[in-house]
Amino acid sequence: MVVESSDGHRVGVSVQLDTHPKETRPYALGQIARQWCLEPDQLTQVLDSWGPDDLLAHLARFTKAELMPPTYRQR
Amino acid sequence: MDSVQERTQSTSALPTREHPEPGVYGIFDVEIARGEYWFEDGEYVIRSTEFDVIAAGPTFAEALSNFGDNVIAFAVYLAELADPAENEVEMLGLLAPRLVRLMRSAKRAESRARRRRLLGVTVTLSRRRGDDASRWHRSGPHNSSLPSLA
Repeated sequence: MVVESSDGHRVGVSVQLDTHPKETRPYALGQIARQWCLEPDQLTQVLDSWGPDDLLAHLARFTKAELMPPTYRQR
Repeated sequence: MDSVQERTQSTSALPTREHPEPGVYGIFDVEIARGEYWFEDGEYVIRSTEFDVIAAGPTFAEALSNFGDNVIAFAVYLAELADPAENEVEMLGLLAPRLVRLMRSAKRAESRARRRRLLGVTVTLSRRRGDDASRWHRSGPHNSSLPSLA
């Protein structure tokens, strides 16, 4: 998905989907939570109750740097 | 960089998600992605700190192999975006030159192999064969607990 960040940049936020393993792993959920700027324990509720517009509105609260991976934030 | 070989080690000594160990993933002598790894829920997890890429496996070597696959898949994903966002262009700009260097290294390795007449032992980019070229180079201060490097 693409969102306009709070500092006015057009930022792509991707989600990596793996077919392995078949059961959902904590690291996979943690990665999605990190990319969506959520606490890990919020993710289940978000997946259950949010729609795309809710997620876009949430992500738009963050700066481009905050939506990027850690090393990139330091560049 | 170290070669990828399994080494038995107590999992209690391995890094955790809260305290991951930083490192650099490379193939041949080419640095592909900076990242960090930890052990969680019975699996070795490797996460890039530069790109939105993560992978895991029951052994460190398998996690490393999966990570390499996912980095390349992510580069393809970025390259194929019809209308990439700013950050996606920037990440592709960071990753693409590294992959070009990787292709050159692979070509050189193939030439060397050919010269040595190693018929039947082709050096390829495949990381699922015995001649794996993937590497993990420790970059942090806590470099004594890497599980699968010899």
